[in-house]
Order: sequence, then C-alpha cells, then structure tokens
Amino acid sequence: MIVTNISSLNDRTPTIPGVPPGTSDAYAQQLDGPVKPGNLSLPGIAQANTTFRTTFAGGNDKPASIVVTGGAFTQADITPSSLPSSMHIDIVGTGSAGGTDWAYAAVKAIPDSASRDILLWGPGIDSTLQENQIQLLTGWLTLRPGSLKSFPSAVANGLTAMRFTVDFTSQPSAKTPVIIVVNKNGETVASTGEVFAIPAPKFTPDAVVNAASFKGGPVVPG
Amino acid sequence: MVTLFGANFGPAAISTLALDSNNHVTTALADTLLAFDNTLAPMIYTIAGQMSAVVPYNVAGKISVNVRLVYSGAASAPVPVSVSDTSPALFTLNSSGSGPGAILNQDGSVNQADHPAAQGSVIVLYGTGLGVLSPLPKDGEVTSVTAMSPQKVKVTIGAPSSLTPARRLRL
Repeated sequence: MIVTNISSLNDRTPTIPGVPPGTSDAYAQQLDGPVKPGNLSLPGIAQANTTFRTTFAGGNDKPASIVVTGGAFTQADITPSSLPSSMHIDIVGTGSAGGTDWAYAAVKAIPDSASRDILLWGPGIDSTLQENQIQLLTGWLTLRPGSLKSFPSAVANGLTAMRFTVDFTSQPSAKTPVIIVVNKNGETVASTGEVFAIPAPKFTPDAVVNAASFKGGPVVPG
Repeated sequence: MVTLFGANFGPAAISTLALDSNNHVTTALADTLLAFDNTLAPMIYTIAGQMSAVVPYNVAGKISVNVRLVYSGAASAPVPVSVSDTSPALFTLNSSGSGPGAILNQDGSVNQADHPAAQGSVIVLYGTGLGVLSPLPKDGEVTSVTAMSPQKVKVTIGAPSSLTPARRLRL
C-alpha cells in the first residue's frame, strides 16, 4: 500500500495516517536522491537535513516489527546516525531474467507474469556486495540465490551495475512498491518507490471468444 | 475478430478504434496491445477487463498461437489458443451474441420482424470469423472499397429444410 498523507504532531513527530493493520517496517531515509527535497512541494522542505544514514526502527541489524492495529496509534522510534552515507543506491534498473538487456527510467514496473532482473548502481554497490546483504521488503518477491553478479556492460554515471534476478513467490493484488535494502559493513541504504510489482494482465484460453457470438473456441484469421 | 475478457488491464473509460496515418487500424489503444505469437493485432476497443481486436491473418495455417496481452508495459503470460480456418458468426442487434441479427435491408433500414427484407432484395449482414479473404488485405486495412470474398464460408437464407444460397457474397 502507498500512503500518500503525512502530518505532524505538535512536537513535530511525523504521523502517517491510514497505515493498514498488520506488521510493518519503519525507517527514515535521507532525501539525497533520486528523490531530493526540491522534488517535493512541502513548506520548508528546502532546509531538510539529508545528511544522515538510513535507519530502521529497532536498529538496522535487527529492525523491529511495528505492529499496527486498526484505529490506534503505534509508535516507531527511529534515531538516525548523523554520519554521512558512504554507500548509496543512485539508480535502479531492470532487465530480462538472466539476460543481458537492461534499462532504467523514472519508475520501473515488474509484472508478476515473469521473473525479472534488477540492476543497482551507486557508490559502495560493487562486486564486494553479497546476496545476504540485499533484502527485498515485499511479500511478493525473492532474490534468486546465486544470481547476483557484477554486470560490467551496464555502466551509468561511471559506475558498474550489480545485477540479480527476482522471482515472484505470490501475486500482488495491486501495484506494490518493492523496497530494496542493502545492509553492508554496518551501513544501510534503501531504494524506495523506484520499482513496483504489478499484477500482470491475466486471461484464460476460454476467455478469448468470437466477437459476434461471444462463444469460445478456436481463433480465426481476420 | 475476438473479444477477450480478463483482469488487470484496460482503462476505466472505453477507448475505441483509431486509424494511423496510413489509414490502418492501430495496434495500440490506451496502452493496450494484443499479440498473436509475435504479431500485434489491430485493436477495436479496450476497457477495464475487456477488449476486442482483429486476429492477424498470419495465424492462418497454424494449429495454435500464443496470445499475449500487454497493458501499460506489463505483459501477460502467453496463453496458447487453437486456430481454425473459420468460425463464422453474425453480430446481433443487441450485441449479446444471440437474438435477431444486425442486418440492414436494401434501403439501409434495420431489418426486423415487422420490417422484413423484400424477396430478391439485397441485405447487409455483419459477421466475423470468416477466415482468410481473397484478395488478402493487410492487417488493419480498411477494406470498404475493395470487394473481397471469404474462401471457405457460404451464406444461406431460410429454414434448414429449405436453405437458399445467397447469390453473391461480398465484403
């Protein structure tokens, strides 16, 4: 689910209404790209502090599960490190599963009809990255074991991509953001809202019918 | 011409047939594409959960084709569908697939029980599933000017016990 509203209590604690009941992760991520303060139309946003490290409630090594119940407030305490980040996911791309093609654009959609490759570019996102350092915060996708590799033919902003394959373990019921988290050498970075899992078009053979009679059966040229 | 029912595709408001600069029916409509193997089909309409398109002529002679629907860049899994030379059916007045046919009398009026065609007059039927035509048009070509004939379909009029072949069949 995408929550589009955020407000602030008197003590400036951000409040996010409309979070569905269940268990959630909560984290603070710096607005240092690809989304930057200037991309948001919020009063005073230009003065936003973007020099801190992505931090999960409960700590990056063992994030706390935030249990949300209907009609009630749930608090998630996050104390970000003020150290600047040495690692960052600058760009996210996609390609065919196990293939050599790749592309990146503003927002990437991964239909649930097939596995896909995800490509990451950024400082610290290099050949030292291990699969167990990558997490996909979605219930639909898993990283295919053994698929992570450096992909030298995909260079962007002077950086070589790291590429891995994701498989669907179940079908999303709606467009769902895929949050990619990299936790490496004690530092955590996240890509939020750049890739979405989407339910692909679905139909069955008997749902293809003659346009005049609406009866199923073989298709005919013309 | 086929209609396809499914999920996760189509705009909320119906989008209907459009012509490209070559006066051919376009194969993309409101971000919706339908491919038979690797050939895109001319699109008739698309709306959430339902669309209609013209099956490309190059499926002729095949036993089956993989049909793939693409909406907003998201492709369905390929769905194998069998192919036949013909599967004729007439469009109906109420677009339900049954009941009185959508038929015009010689004067252009709608043929109805209380407004029948005169014996020996010309009527116009609207149908699909007639198969390959001769001469073969291009996919999406608007063929209103050129007379074309289906290769394997005949039209007869009357009760089964007294069928009368139509004198001439033109499209």
